Amino acid sequence: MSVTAHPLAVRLGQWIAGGRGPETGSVVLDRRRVYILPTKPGLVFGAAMLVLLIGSINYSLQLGYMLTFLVASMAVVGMHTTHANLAQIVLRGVRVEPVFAGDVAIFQITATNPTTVDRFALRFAFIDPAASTRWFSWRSRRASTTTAISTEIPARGDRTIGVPLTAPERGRLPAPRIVIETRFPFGLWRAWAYLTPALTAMVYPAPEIDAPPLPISGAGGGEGVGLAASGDDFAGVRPYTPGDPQKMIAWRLAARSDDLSVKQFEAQGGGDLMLDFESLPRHFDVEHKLSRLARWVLDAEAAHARYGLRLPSSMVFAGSGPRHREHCLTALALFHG
Amino acid sequence: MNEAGAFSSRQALSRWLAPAVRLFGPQASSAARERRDMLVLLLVVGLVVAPHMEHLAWWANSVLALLLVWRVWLTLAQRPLPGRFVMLPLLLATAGAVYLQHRTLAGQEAGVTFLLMLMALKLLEMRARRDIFVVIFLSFFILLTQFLYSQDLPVAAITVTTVIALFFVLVGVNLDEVDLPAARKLKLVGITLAKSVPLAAALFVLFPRISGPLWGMQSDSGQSSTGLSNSMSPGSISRLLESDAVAFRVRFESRVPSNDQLYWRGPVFTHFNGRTWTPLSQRAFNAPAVTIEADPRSAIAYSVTLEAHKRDWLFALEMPAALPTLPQHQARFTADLQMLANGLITERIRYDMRSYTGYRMAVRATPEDLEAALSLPTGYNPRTRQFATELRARMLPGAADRGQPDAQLMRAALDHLRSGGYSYTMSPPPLGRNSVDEFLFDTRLGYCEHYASALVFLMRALEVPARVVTGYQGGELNPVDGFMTIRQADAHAWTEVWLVGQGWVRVDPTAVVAPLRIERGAVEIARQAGRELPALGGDVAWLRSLRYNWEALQNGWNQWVISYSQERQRALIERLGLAPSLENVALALALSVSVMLAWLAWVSMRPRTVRDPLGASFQLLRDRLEQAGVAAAVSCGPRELYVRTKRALIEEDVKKARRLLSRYERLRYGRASATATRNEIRALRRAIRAFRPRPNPL
Repeated sequence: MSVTAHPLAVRLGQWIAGGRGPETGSVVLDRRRVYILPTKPGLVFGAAMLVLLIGSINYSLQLGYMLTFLVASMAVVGMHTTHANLAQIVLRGVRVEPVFAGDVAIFQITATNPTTVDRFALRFAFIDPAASTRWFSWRSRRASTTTAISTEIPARGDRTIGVPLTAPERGRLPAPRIVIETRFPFGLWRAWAYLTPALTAMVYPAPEIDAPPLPISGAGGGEGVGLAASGDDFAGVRPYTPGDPQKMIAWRLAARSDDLSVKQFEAQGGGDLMLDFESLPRHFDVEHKLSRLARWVLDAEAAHARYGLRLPSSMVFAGSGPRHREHCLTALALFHG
Repeated sequence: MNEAGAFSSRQALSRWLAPAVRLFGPQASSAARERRDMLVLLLVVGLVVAPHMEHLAWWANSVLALLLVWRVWLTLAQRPLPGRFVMLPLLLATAGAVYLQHRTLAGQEAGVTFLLMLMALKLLEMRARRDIFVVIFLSFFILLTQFLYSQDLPVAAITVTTVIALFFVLVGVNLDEVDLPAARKLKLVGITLAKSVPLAAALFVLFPRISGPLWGMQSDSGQSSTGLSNSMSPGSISRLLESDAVAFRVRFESRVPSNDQLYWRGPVFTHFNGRTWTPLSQRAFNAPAVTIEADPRSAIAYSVTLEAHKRDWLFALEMPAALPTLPQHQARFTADLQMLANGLITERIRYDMRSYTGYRMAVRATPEDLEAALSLPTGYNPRTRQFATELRARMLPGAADRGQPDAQLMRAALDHLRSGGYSYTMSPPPLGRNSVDEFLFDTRLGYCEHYASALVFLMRALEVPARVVTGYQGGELNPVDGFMTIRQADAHAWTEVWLVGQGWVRVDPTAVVAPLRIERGAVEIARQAGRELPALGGDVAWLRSLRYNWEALQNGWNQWVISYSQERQRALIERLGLAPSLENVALALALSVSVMLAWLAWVSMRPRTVRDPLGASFQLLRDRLEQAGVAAAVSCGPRELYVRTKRALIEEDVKKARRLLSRYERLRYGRASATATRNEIRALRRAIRAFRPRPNPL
């Protein structure tokens, strides 16, 4: 299923709604944001109505006039129904979970229906940023979109829709423009609206496949520098994980951010694992190294080890737990070498 | 690949993609729904095809039925559709068969047959969603072709039903993963239909009508179904005598004539070849070719709504004095005062008439004028000629000096019919070569044709000018709408005899033999003979009244919808106070369509939110809290919202928020909610407006 948008319409929409850029908070799809045009079957339908009318005139069929006008009027009513099926929906970008490069990021959008009318067959898709943005070409008459997700929204209800987008490379992936369209109820009209949610996906480097095992210090070639939660020298903070002693929480930091952090102190310890960018073979390119490190971060976490990360420009001290892992992977994702 | 459990973007993906997969993927539920939708579509196609079955060739009906049944079976058995190597020969074979039958693919009947075949074949090669649209659009064309055969009220009802069903199918096609119950879909289509009626009505009434076709059309369909024909050999009426089909309807402006005056003049037969009566050569005139002396007190004004009979005959009460104005044709009189149009009546027409029941026609006719009305073929009906000679000999010796011997001869002939043991029957025995002889002296059984034919022959044998007049006699007055219905069963034949000083005088021998036929009509005769016209309800009072209402409805439909024409449209515009021109029709159309479109837009776009001031106040409070940094999601209730304020706001404002939230909660959900006065809600709104929460700086 692919939602289609005429390139010209896309361009027009960009021109009309383009100034907005990414939008935070609730966005109401008011009349100015909802566009409507006949679908291809709708155009054929219109041509069929014309032929019916000519037939009725030629054979002077009064009942033919009646049929033609009734069916055509129903299509006109259908236009309003299609428009109303999309209008007044309130959209809000919720969040997007981090993904690995090559995987699909799910951008979650909440759609609220504040009206007393059920909505059906609303399709959400990204306008594919990889597709050509030329707004006129003979070859592909349509700006391509990503796989569409369809949903219904009951009256005064809401739905959270995950719009998928393949993350091509590590780094930040801001949500491209989303097109929300509907052809309900008769498929003769297509109403659509655009939204660029202020959501950015964190894309971690793809973990290397068939990577060598973790460089356990002593056993492997890796040179580990351990970190501990207690020791002599304050070394930094790491995210709080349940079970950390309360006296170690960095309260002053906590006041400034949503997350709790735990103070870290440097100490020599045998069990900690330091994953070092520089220790990887020199002939690896940067992405390969990051990919291997991502794999090792996952492996270390799976092995319940305490591990840290040393990059040429930054460093993550040893720790463990899902939050720590995310810190490490984020550092890899945002690495500028 | 050993990814941590919490990290399952692929699982998440499959969860979010599930709807899309369900719609097109191979999952059972979707396939079942697709199968069900297909069966519904096939049912609707059946609805589209069914009305055509009666006028299709038998082989076309069989092929259509086979194709549809095959398709139903394929759906139920979940078999794949036939491939291109089956479909292409099938298409060629059906096209060939249609061509062989009609020698064309473009004519009306050939076209309809071919269109139906195309749709049935399309059902067998549906690959994509757009193919459903193709079938549905084809259905609209096929619906239209129905009207070439009939535009009656039942056809209209079937059409509207089918349109609803077609849109019902469209709704099913355009729902994605969430299906709606059939009742909801029907309701949606019903509402759409109801909303579209005003616009459709405005378009119907005001879309400019043109008279005449855009290009020539072949009217190769529909045989004439009149109870009359343009020749008469006794026996030819019997087949249609029992048809209750409507010939025409009449609305009298003033008084309704009595039943024995209701003679509706049609073809007049003067020429007889021994077997068959035919009219004289049809020279038509713009005015009566004979003089008519009418009694002005007997004038009757009325309008005739004539059904399409594919002849050029026009009917009028005897005796019309002037020609009517026809919508598309010119009316003419023949020399023997039959009214004709200068073209075939291929659609229902309406015309105003004026007739006189008291008249004298062609009193001063010359012998040359009457020559044709005296000629008899030689070598036929010797016994009748013999009888005439005897009758003349018996009558004339004493009658000669009393004048008007012809009138006496006529009375004697009628006396013979009255007392000669003749009886009226609708299924007389067949007659041989000397049909008049055999009827008059052997069988003595017959209906109007036999009596008219025999009387005219006898009068001519008596050297009195006479001719056969056919048409309709009687009619049934519908008390509901005041229209008189004249049916094919009312077809009748009578005679005109020319008498010195009186001109052509109507003589109905059937009235002599079977007075009931004239007094109570053909329907009554049929009933007495135990042959109820099936649809007419007979004596049962409520059935009869039901029928009257139904016929009034049908007639109203014909009068106001099917006969809607340029004239009627212009008349309507005139009634609105505008000059009846095309520009004004177009102006009225543009205006009313704009009004309807605006109304539709207003109906569709007005906000569908419930007026809920309390809810709006809560929304405002939520917005205020959100501005102050509280994560106030839409799904949060008041209590959850309070919990979230705790750390986000300064302590004083947390308390204020708590008070406001609990007031809201009490008004919305508390026991007082039923009695919550408007003032309380208003006070809360004021308090919320004044509330400016401050974020906790910590």
